[in-house]
Amino acid sequence: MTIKNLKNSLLICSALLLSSENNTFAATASGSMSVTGNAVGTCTVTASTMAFGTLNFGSTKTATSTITPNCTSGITYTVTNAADTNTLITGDGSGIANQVAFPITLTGGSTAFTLTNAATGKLTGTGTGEATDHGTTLTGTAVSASSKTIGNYTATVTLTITY
Amino acid sequence: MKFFSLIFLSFIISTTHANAVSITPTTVFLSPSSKVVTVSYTNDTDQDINLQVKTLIWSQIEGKNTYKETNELIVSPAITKVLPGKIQNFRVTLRQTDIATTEKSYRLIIEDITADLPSQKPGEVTFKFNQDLGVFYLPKKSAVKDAGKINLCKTTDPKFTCLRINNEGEKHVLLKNILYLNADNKMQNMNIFGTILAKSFQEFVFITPVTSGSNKTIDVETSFGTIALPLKN
Repeated sequence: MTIKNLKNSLLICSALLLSSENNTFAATASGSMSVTGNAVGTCTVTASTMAFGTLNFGSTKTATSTITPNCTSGITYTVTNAADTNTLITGDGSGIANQVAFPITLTGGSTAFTLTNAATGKLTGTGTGEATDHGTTLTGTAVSASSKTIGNYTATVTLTITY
Repeated sequence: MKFFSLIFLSFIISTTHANAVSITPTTVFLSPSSKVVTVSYTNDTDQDINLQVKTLIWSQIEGKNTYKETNELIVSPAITKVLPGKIQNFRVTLRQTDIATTEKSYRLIIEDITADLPSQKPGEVTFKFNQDLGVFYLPKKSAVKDAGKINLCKTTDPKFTCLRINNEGEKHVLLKNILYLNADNKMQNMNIFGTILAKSFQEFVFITPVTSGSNKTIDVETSFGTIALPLKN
């Protein structure tokens, strides 16, 4: 048994011993940490264009994009929306008449949620080292374009990938 | 050798993902023997990308991440344009490398500041990416003592479990994952991870998993090993 394995075994044993001593208190595992090698890696990310086409008058319209992070095995990542709200704009985008909001939700997981820069509105994952598709669907829902200025509406969404 | 690796890497990326950007490494480790580290950003899109670099001191105070702008970390270039299919190298170093007694931690943020594309079609939303990397400087003498504790902490809602990792050492540690045996006796990945800086703690709150049979434990995978931790009854 290597020293590292021995240390791990001791840590597990100490955790079990402490938990059996007093079940009313939180179990604690403590011991020496062995310094391991540096984890470096590569991450590649892409997101397809979200195309709403012609916006609806009087009803919402949805469009989707697939975000695909591919990272070296073991590299963890978090994707958040750099802004809390996203808006399609026409012209200079000034004034509410030139803006069409489109909140983005993630629908690839078990529970859909809005992608924001808040603690809960994030996509997380761990790289597998394989060039497989870990894509998650982003769904934008544009509000009704009624009462909006006639024109071409576009938007750019900035996502932050934190390693 | 590094040059050929990058060529090979960019070839792989270009054959698997069109319109992708990539970064390597995803974490920067500086030390007295490695005072300058290169971070490579690959633009595999068909558009120019304008980048701007921001550097922050990263600390954890009372379990909360805090960031403050700094000029201790030098990154060159600070602003650049990356042409399609090209790789931009950023040199990362510390202004002064003898300032720390324990590991120092920073965030390096590479922001995509490209203006909106005039060629966008009506009703089209395009995406761009900011890259947020951890940077660590470990002084030579500080890798002596690494110690820490993992324990369960209190939660107001019994449906949730709180895990506290207290890093008493002089180097950051990683929570890589939390695993448990589910009701079908299959190992379940909770996809919970984080970084605990030197001399800091972090708490991770999650829905208490339904474990298999009498095995009321979770496996906490960290950079210093995996620890089986009994759940509260």
